[in-house]
Amino acid sequence: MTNVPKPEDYILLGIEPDTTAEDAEKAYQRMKGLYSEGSLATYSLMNEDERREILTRIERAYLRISKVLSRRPPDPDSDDAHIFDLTVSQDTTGIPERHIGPFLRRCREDLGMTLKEVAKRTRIRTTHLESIEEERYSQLPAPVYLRGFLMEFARALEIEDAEELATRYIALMQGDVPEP
Amino acid sequence: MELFDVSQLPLPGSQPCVWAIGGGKGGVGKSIITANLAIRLAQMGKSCVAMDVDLGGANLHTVIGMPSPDYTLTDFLKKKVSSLRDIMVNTPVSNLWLISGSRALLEMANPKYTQKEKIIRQLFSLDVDYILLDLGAGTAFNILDFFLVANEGILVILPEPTSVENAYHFIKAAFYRKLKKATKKTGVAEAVDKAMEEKIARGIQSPRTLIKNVMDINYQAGLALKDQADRFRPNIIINQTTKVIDQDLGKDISTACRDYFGIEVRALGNIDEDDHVRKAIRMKTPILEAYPASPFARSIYNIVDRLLFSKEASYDKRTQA
Repeated sequence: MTNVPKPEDYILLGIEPDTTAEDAEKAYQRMKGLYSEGSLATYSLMNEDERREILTRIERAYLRISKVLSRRPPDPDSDDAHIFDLTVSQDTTGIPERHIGPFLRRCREDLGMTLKEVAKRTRIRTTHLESIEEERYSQLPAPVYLRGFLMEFARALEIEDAEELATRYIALMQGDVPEP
Repeated sequence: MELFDVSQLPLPGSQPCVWAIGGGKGGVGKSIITANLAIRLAQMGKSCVAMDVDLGGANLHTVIGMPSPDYTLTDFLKKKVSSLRDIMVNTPVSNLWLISGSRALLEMANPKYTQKEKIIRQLFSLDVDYILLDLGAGTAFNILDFFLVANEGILVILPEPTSVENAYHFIKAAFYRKLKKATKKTGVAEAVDKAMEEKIARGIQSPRTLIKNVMDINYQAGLALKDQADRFRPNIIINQTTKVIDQDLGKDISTACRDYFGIEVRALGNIDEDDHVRKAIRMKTPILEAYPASPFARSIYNIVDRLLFSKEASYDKRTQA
């Protein structure tokens, strides 16, 4: 299973496995700051791709560690536009405000599951699952069916508030949420 | 404050311990820091030589508070004298001697390979406890070689983008230089050269990826490089910090070097901007004597303590030759 923290995760964040949730969060915020775009210590060191790569590694490491520490995961919405955003969301669901498709994909990948495996478990066709992850709205079924799909999908990925996820996804699809 | 542990200090009659102070950029405070680290060691009763390897723009004597000496490295390089001992001059600070690089001709700024080897050989035979080298700016091979031959290599960095950038460049250049020198005999060189040639094509950006790529070409060679990387442990000092945000810079650079280069860099501490430094230079008196309780002086004491008594493993570079 890939959602169990690896020794490298702790090394990357510079913390011990028996650390408190609070210290883990602090370490995570520090690392995010260190590799953020304007960081004095790293701006001349790496190119954008490398920066993104390491930020993704940090996100994944903290996601795995925070699960073990039974804390909500960080906002894993590490999409390009948001990856450098250091503000901590007040949201307690762990579900991002937007880009929920990529969020689902990341959650799936963190669990080491293929689309096929999710399809088998949820009895939703892989093409639908893929369309959901890719946010190909035009290829998705009507909201009334889609809601059920989303909730099944989220539950298969151990996302607690499946209902909230479905609501947000559909709201985004229907354009209820204005772009910032 | 850690206890004074005599066993960690060089034994009488043994080789001197060499600290080299560099920094990719000029004007970051290398000379002031070198002089005052040496003065601190001298105050602790250690016999100590401060040596100006900055042949282009030497000014270590001024920082120590003395006029330019009659004999300098130039005399050694021009073979007017045969031994470094002949150009070791007394300073106003007891236990401290100076080897000055001043008056060096511009063409002397890059001594020939044999001259450099001669300096290095003689350095380790001087009968003192510590030798502190004030390296010039830049990343010329001569500077890197003095940095690498030292028991402790120390980089001085200012909290500004150009200085940080230069420091990374220095660390990378020193590391590659070290690999090059270390791999001459072992046959690893071929794999390194191959990987370096393909550097751009294979997207090798950092020592870390270089080692990974050499491992793909030749696993044993990769392991040898990994060993070299583990033994390369430069130190950094952040000088002239002013803002709260600067305080974590050393730690941040250290973390970034670990993640990105795969190199452990030890952050020795920060030195806050302190007006006493300028005042002391105008008085032509070492700041540690003029203002022994100033923030600058206290930072120097802490850094020396760290270098002398820190539990962190310190590799003896001389045994690797």
